[in-house]
Amino acid sequence: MAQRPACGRHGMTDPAFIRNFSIIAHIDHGKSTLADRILERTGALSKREFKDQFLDSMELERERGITIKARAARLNYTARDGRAYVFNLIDTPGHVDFTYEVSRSLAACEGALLVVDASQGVEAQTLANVYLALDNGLEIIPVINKIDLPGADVERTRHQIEETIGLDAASAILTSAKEGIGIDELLEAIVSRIPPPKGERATAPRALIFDSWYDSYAGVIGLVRVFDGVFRRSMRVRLMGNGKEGEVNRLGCFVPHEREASELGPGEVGFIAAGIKAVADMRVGDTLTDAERPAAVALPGFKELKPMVFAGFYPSDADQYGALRDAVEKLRLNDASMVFQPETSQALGFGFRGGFLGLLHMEIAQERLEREFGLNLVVTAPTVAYRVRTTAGETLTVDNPSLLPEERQIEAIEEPFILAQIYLPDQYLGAVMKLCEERRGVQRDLRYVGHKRVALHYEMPLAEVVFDFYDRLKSASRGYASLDYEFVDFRAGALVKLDLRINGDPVDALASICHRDRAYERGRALCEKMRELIPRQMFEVVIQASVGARVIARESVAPLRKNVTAKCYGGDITRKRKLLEKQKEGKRRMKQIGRVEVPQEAFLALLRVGK
Amino acid sequence: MSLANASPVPVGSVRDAPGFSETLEIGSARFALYVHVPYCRSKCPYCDFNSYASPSWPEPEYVDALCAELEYRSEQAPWRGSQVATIFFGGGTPSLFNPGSIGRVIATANHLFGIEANAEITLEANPGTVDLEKLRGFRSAGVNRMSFGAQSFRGETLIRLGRTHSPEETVQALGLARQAGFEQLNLDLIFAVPGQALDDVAADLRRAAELSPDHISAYNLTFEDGTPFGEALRRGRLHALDSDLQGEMYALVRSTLPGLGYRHYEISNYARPGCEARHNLAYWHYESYLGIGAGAHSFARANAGGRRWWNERGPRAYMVAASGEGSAEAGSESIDGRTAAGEFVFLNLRLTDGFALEDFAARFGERFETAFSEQAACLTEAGMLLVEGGRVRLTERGLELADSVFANFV
Repeated sequence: MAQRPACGRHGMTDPAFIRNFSIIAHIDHGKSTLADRILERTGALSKREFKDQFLDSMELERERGITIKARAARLNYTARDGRAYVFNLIDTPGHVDFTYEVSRSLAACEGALLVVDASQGVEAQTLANVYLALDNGLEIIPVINKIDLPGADVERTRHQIEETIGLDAASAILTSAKEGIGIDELLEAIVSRIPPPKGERATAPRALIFDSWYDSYAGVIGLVRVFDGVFRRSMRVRLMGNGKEGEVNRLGCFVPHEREASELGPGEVGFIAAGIKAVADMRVGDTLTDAERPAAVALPGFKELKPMVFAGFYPSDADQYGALRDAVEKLRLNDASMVFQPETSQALGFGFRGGFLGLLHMEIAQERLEREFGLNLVVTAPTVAYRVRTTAGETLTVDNPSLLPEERQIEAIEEPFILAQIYLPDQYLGAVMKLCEERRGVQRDLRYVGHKRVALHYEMPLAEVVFDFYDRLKSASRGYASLDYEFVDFRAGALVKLDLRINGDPVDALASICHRDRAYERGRALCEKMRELIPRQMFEVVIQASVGARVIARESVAPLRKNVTAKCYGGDITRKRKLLEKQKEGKRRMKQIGRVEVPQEAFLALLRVGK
Repeated sequence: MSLANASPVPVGSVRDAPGFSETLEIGSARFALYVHVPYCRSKCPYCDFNSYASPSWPEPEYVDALCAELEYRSEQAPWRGSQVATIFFGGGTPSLFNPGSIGRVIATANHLFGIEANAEITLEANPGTVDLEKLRGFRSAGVNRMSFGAQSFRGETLIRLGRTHSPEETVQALGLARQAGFEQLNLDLIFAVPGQALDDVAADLRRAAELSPDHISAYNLTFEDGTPFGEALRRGRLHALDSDLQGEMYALVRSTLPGLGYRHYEISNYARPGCEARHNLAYWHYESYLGIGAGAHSFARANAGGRRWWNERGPRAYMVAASGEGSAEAGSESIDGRTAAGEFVFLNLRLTDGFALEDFAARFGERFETAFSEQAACLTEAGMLLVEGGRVRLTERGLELADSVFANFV
């Protein structure tokens, strides 16, 4: 076998010359442009092959302007001291659904660039990640970007960084990524201010997996940061979380194009494939070690992510069920935090119950299924998983409200509770506390963490948080509050099943579980929403919300008064037929409930209620 | 105007032929002939027919083209050897043409095919475009039925519709037509015009009936894409009447006209007994029809299905093609048996009498209840369709929701 160079070409890189960092920024404060500049200045990409915003590689990510999956790039930089350095730029996702992934990406770094728009100042989304970075002990370099814009106010931004985050911003780097200003200073600061990684070649190897994905040729590929020892091709490796083993068949780094290497040493960032078949077996946060000479202790911080939000995924066209089945299998290969179980709905036919980390994660899954696999889906309103104790003494997990046992068989319904940690400027405290209490939150802690900056802890039902709480929180704090939450336990509550009936028939896909005190209001809002969404039909459509046998709200859609084209377009019968065919096609996209045609968007009405 | 170049066909000289409703013998095929005149003095903002506003038009050339197309079709199946049962001059505004031009087309058709003795020959006219002399000319050219686009008797409504005539001109035109010897007269009305109230519709119906035509067409205004009205609706500058009010207006028309002696026989058509528009019945009965002129559509039955085609839309392109090749066909569609069965149903169901089950079976070799078993059961249960006495027809409710019903058959 040909000798392969280490990623550093001339053998393994001395950790003293490695700098591992990520970029933390609010959505349009210029993270991608800055990353592009760094890639460009370090010669990683020529202008010609330069694809704008290289790191956000997925189409969907580009459109949403967020980074969903982490990526890393290894860059060579010759500093003013004349020495050659290796930079590993590690990109991070940017949404509360992916907090855990972000924390693992940050754990792979020694430093972070905090990019703040000089005209807009520090924004909430940034703060959650700044706190994660501080938790991971990272050196943070403030970067004030977009200084070329007319509205730029460097001094105010500097002051704000100090005020809201408590970071010394006196030595902040001033840049305009768009104009290429300040990039050289920034690169020097990375060398001088971010500490080099520690780690010994001789120690038992340990590498943190901070991303993994499925490749149809190589199996699962893990993106790793080596903390100790050396990983080589053909080495037998073990995942410390689940004991799975495999032989390293590919190893290397992204420069940012993939480049294979012979080994990865301490402080290095790269990829390792070891014949692992499922992403679920090579999870983010797990530690990879040498199977022959395993490390005694895994790297800290590994947790197995469990789906929090569940929804039914159905093909609009029943013929597409097979295609949907194949598509969810493919999607799962790349995302272990997603689960899909087959289920059947009277209203929607055959489909799957999907489990996700959060609402955004779910929406991304839906969009990918539709876009990448060409499917048309009806997705039901998301729900959390409840734990039901029956009178027979059983405990069931219910992630589909229509499957809740009858009232008389239920001893208690327990719902998941989370501990929410919210950081916010104190001027929004009142509004945010009010929001938390409305969502059945119980305050656990409130303390100042800086001048005018508050950390708020609430225990809340997950069901009150997963849907629109994040959006509400942002509007209550004008975008300045950050949210992070973790599961606490299951707690019994006064929960009821709210059924929605159309012309008397309960629609399984529209059932939901809610707090008894909310049932009336929610039932009414749901009926009103359905009345707006269901088009007038040949006959009256009655919409009712009920708890058990008791109807708590009612609306009706008056029958269609008239639907007839006066003229037959002379002899142009073809045109008339085509118009009728179009009308029929529109009906075909509806779901039939009894005799009533219900448009697909109505199945998301539950989600829109209360927004 | 001059009748010098006209060859008028005295109605009495057309040889005897069976009446339209009689059963046809093999070999005695007959068809409806539609003649399109695409010119108008001004284009009404709601109209999406193939018409062009112009102060002048190449009348002799256009008539030459019509005659050339007739000649071409007279050599082709299924028209060769068939007789003309009805002729309809539509537009556009055919009354802009000289009686001599209309006469030439009629004479040519008679020469090439033969026109049945009691053929219905209709000409559409705008009330503002005719005088006694012209009407007499049309009559002696062979036209025996005039259809006037009255639309409304309320000035404001006419203005909103972009019509250039006044209510008085409609009254006058009808009087002149009678004076010229026309007994069969139709008035077109439009209702559900923005700004119109229920009372306005009632008044229009009364005024129309007072003039005692033997046929009234009352159309609910539709906003068609590509028309100024359609555009204004899309941009929110014009609002359609509330759909419930439109429904009430339609119900008012249906309940008023029969009381005034006009039987409701098609979704938008009402007639004194025996005065139904025979030409239009051919469309609704799913019979063959030959359409000549710019953008005209034709349908030739063949077995259970048939072939439909349409001409070049632009008058210039039409004239070049028809005068040269004889054919001005721009596109066509072959209709298979199944599609034809659906079209047969949705066209016949426009008629309040619907169709006879045996006619369906004879034509398609399958019973209606078998071919459309699910639809028939479902629509009958929903109270839209009635199957009784060997006929299928829409209920009153079915008429109001006809498009929803028809969509089940395509």
